[in-house]
Amino acid sequence: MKPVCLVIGAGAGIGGNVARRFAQEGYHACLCRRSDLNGLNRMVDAIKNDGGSATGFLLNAIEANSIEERVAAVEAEIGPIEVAVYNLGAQIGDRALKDTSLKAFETGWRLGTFGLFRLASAICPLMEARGKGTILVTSATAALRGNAGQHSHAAAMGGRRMLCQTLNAEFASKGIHVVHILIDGAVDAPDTLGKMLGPERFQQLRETRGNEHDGLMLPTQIAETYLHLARQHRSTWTFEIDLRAFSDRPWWNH
Amino acid sequence: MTRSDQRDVQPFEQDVALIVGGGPGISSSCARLFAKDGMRVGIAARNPDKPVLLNLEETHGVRRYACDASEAAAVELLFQKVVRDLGTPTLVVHNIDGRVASIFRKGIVDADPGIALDTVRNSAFSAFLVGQQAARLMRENKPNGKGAKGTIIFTNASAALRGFPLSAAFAMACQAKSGLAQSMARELMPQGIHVTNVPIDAAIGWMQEDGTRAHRLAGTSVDDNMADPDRIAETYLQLHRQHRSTWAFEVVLRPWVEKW
Repeated sequence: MKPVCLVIGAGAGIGGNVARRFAQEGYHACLCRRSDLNGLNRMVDAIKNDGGSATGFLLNAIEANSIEERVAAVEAEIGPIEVAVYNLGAQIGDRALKDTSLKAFETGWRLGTFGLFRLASAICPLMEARGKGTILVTSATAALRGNAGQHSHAAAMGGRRMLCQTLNAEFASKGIHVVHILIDGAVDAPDTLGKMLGPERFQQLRETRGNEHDGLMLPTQIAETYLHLARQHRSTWTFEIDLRAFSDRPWWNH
Repeated sequence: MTRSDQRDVQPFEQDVALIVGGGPGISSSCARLFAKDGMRVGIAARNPDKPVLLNLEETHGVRRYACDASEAAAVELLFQKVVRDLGTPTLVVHNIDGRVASIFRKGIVDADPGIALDTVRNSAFSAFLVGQQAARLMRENKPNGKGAKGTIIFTNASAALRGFPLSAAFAMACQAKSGLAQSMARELMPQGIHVTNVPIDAAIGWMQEDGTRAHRLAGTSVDDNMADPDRIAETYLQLHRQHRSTWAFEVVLRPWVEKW
């Protein structure tokens, strides 16, 4: 039975590429995303055509029990989840306070913080019983800086970062490696940045900053660091790592 | 797939690594791993004739250099020799702790000012000198397959994150090194030079003759409760291999059971 890498938030950016990279290393990748069954199937087929094994699931992380039931079913039907990747974003663009509705703020928190709490509640007891496991949490600049217009996103990501710290404090010594991965820049991700900008502006951004300029973070390359983190020996674990394109300004200089 | 992904398949060419500060811990582990990875490796220490360094030369072909890295002229000369012998470095690790025995456990009231200044010179100032020479040379390098002209890694310590009591000089030194690293990262990363700060937030247990891992003060490592320098070196190598579209700046390493 192959160990399982469960990815919550598997679009064509970080999530899908991390799933694919782990599948290349012999994991069974479980890809979960909210919508776009065709896109999901394409990613699963690509992994299988690569010689890897993968299963795709539609999952709405906001729905009660969705994450919990998915974890239980994967454990029962596919295998033990060795690596869980929580990769749901909650970026809704810059909005002034008056334009940030209660609903928008709450949704940010549900995706940003509460969903991770639910994943951890479902998976930590299983990993603890096995004495090992890795939880890789994608995070954002907003986890460290509350920039203007980021009320919902920054509160959600700040909460995500603190939750990672408390999870680490309770579970690191039980063999669970929790990593808060600060993605401190724009990712070349068609399903998130691409949808936020629309196809034309996204293509323009790729031409001016991405492609050979390497100013947009390449999800295939980010996946290499995710794999390294999951492989770190327990004598030298990283809790937090910051990643950005070489040409980008880091969070502390904004 | 973008063009950048495809460029990535080019191998690193003629990597040259220089490790400044040489002893039995991180520096030796890095030297072994880098040599195994196919790099030409140099290691510099005040006393390059320590048995552990002689052994690295014998087993891994590591070139040894004598250098007091707190002296500007000595550091400049070191890099000249490395360029002559091995080629221009593409990976430089500053790995100097900088404390002398008489500064340990000294309260602020009792710390000798001269020794405190020596600590800062040995550690942070030598990091500046090494970083400066590395940057001068690396900016002339051609970018490799991952778009990088070189990597500069600063080994740092818990004191970079928190000021501990009875450790004023080392706290100054480590925080200065962090500031230096941040500033250099901002200046050099856009020029294609990857700069990273790696605080090791733990005792480091290195291999003893009897096969155990131990630290001079903290004792023997049990159940991986000390950082294993061979594993630290693996993360250094991964940092060096990162593609320039996704560079890490700061990576803290600590054992799974470490309280922080």
